[in-house]
Amino acid sequence: MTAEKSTYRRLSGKKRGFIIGHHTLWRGRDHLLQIYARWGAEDYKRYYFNDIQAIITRKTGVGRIQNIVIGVLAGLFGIFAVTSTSGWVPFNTIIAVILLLILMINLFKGPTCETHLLTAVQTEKLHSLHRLNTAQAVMNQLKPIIERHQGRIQREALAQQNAQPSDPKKKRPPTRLVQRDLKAHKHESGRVHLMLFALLIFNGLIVAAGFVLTHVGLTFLGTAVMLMMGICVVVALVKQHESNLKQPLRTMTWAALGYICFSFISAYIISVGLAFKHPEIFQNQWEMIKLFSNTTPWDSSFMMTISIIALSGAVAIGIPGLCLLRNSQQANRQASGLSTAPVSATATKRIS
Amino acid sequence: MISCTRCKSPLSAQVLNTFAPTPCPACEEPIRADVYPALFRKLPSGRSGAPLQGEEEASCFYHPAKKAAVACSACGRFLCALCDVEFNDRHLCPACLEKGKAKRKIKNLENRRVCYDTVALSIALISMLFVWPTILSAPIVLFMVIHYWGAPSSIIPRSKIRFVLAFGIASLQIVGWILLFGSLIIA
Repeated sequence: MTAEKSTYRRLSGKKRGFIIGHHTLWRGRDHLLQIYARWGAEDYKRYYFNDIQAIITRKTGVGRIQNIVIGVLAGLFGIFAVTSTSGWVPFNTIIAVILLLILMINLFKGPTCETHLLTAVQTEKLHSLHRLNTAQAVMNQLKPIIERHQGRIQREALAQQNAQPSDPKKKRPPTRLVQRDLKAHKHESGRVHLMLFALLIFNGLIVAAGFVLTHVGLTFLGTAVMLMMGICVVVALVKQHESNLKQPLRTMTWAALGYICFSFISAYIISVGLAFKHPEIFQNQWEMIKLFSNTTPWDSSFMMTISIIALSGAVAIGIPGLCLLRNSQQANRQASGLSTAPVSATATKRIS
Repeated sequence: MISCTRCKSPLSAQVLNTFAPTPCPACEEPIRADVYPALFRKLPSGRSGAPLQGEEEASCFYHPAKKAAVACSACGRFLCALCDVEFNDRHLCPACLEKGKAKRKIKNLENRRVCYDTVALSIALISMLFVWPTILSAPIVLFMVIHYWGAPSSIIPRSKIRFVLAFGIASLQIVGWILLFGSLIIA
């Protein structure tokens, strides 16, 4: 048996993973090949041109949100670079320039999108096609190739067939989104989420207190709250998996995780900075904590930036999180009330 | 029926094959849906082998009571319609298909590969960041390069440049350690 001699040609688009891995799309002789590569291992998925039923791309707002976030941060660092007079000016300028470059690259890449490929048995996301311009270019490139394998579909025929599917008995397998909705959801009260968002607001208050107050007790309290938040976010993420909690609330929980990671990393950077500044007390943990406690946002523009981001993040995630949780709980209560209403009516009738 | 990937409402024919983003009638998200004839094609029903009509007819190797329809392109065994697997314009029996997959002789059935060239280069480069681990990693990288030189790499065309680079870096690391220890001994 001889090995298949098929050559692949790379299609535009690449999607990098959060930390590791990347997705690419390749065009083979008779199929599309999606590769997910990470740490030297590659996973392959093949979609034969003869089996492709549709390719759907939808514009998303992710790119716009990224631009707003990066733009705001660039502006913030830019303002600090202009107004600050301390030694942090070069640092703020460099960060602002880097963020501005990232913003320009993101703007140049164009709007984001989600692309799905449909066959008779699957609906798969084409991760590499996450920019609208690239997705459209690849779809235009693939169109004649797929038509060469399957033939062309006329618009009139499409309207006719779309109105009356050839096999009404044949049901399409549900998409992943639909499958998620169809799965039996476990009921989640959201108590851990409540605790998480309440702790977030409390943490915001501690950060705000840091503007006017410096005390070791405040540092210990902040550390304890951060640790509790870390535990809560992990439990909340586990509990919300396949639960009946609404999507915006789930997103807020993930945002809380991002906030906690940011807080831990920034605290680590500040500690390392202090240790380098004061090597004489590096070995003495108590002195280090005292020094950390005496640090205020007014010390440097960097500290001010960290504090503003921490404060605004805590408020921007905590308050909407609590509101969403309240809405979600109300909706669940109503839904459970509706579902139990006929049963209770029948039961009442039977009893009477 | 094609549905919007956001709101999951069915897309009308006006939205399909416009070859430009068109607002979804339900959620108004710009969507482009390219539809192909496979969407309206009926799925082929499963075939079963025809029974033998007489003594003179050839039978299937796996089902002696069934009539042979085709010979396996790999092993030559007679196969009935049920056992015939058409793959890449070839007719294969289930055993050859399985063997081809297990021995990686059919490229199109492979779902995963380990690219040892990338692994070797990563080890060689990452260990350099911490300097000391190169004492151990350099011989490991050299072994990997020599042992997996002929092993299949990525499914897409790729040169041996990663192996060459890993070999060069690991060799330099070993030379560096020899020089360091040599100078220490002399001193």
